[in-house]
Amino acid sequence: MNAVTIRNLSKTYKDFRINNLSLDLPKGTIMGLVGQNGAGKTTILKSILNMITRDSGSITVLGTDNTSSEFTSVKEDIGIVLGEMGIAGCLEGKQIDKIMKNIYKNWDSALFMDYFTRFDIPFDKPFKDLSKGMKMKVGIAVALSHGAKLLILDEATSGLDPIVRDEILDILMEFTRNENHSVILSSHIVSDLEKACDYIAFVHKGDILLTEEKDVLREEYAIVFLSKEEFSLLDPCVIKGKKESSYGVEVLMLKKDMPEDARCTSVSIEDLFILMAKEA
Amino acid sequence: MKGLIIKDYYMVKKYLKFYIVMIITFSIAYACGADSAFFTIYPSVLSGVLVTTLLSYDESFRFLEYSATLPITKKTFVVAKYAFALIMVGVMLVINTISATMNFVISGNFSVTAVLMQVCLLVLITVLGFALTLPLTFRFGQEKGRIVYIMVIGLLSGVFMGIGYSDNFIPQNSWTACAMLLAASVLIFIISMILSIKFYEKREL
Repeated sequence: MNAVTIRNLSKTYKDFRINNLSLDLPKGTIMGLVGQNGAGKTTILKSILNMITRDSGSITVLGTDNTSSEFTSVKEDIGIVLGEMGIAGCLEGKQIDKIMKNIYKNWDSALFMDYFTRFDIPFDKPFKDLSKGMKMKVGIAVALSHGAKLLILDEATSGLDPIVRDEILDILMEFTRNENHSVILSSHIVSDLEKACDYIAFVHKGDILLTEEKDVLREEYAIVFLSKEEFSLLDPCVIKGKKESSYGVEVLMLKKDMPEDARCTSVSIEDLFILMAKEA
Repeated sequence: MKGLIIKDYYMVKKYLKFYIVMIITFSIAYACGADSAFFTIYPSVLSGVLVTTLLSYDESFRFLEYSATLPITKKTFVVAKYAFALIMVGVMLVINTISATMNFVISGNFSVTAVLMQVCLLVLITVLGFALTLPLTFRFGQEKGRIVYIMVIGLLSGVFMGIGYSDNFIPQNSWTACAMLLAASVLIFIISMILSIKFYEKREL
């Protein structure tokens, strides 16, 4: 069963549009939306939360149509971390606790305080005086303190140092040990997604180029080194991406489509994304 | 909704202390016998626009986006803001009753109807302070809302200063006028809240 199902989502802005996009987030998994800035990742996440009016399409979140009136109560089960947090700078931990206690029915103050201790966040320091990493951890503490089954993180690791990013990714992986818990996160830091995600979706210019299990991507794709002559003989349909240089051409393709005896190397998710995005 | 009101309380305490100090200072000046419509009216105008300022703070902290991710509807968000505004009306009702009573006693013009009339008029001013600006801020955001905010302050100050200098500022014996002022306040409050809900529900965050 899916935690999130998107079908034929379309949304048009003045200079950007999402056209007929479909996506599934299976329960118990972490999906990473990777794409350049402005590719449409945030629009997809906002659509999941029904924050924007779509032109067409349907979205089901935790089994509920997100345009239905019941969706407000479904949000009790969703934890959200926005890249640019929405918490007022003056608020301290204990004040955030008091506010959230009166917003979420299942708010767990003890758990919230535990996260503050675990993340080493001062409980009596105003939000504005915390470092960016700490702020993000506060966001995660809020998202995890009301029994969420689905976590949605928008650029939650951007601008953070590698150690904090690593800690956040560990928290996400710990969260999905429960098979009913799912995570969808957007980032343009591919290495983060490569570490934490089970599924990767490549978002490019409002479209999803590819959605696949991370391990399948690694197993099925390869970068093949060809001379320009060898490259010219290739069927264009098998070329998923390419990078030309004076030495020849590096071609991204499925391993099953590789020419015999061709020299190849395994592909990282980052290479995969860059080559695909350039080809698209 | 309670959580949103608590948040607004924390924000007023931290960011809008200046408004509170000004409201108290002007009210004390009026209570001590200051004979100027400015001292009478300005605290109520300030208390009204304080609510709109809170909404602007929400926007600058991106709380509007964040609130859309919480298990609350846009309608609840708007109603919470108006509930906070109603609390401000209540607080100003108490402050204005005390300051008007003291002022009238000091000036030798005390009568229950005079105080009541003055307080009812100030309730209307407080309500106008947020009722005119909130719907537009909910609809257009703080940038355009700020232009309206400045216009409303100018308009209210101008109109009521003008009224204040006229001899008929405080009709002495008009229970009907008093009831009409309160009815107008309630009506404006309700219309403003309905408009804000409609505008905000259409707004994309």
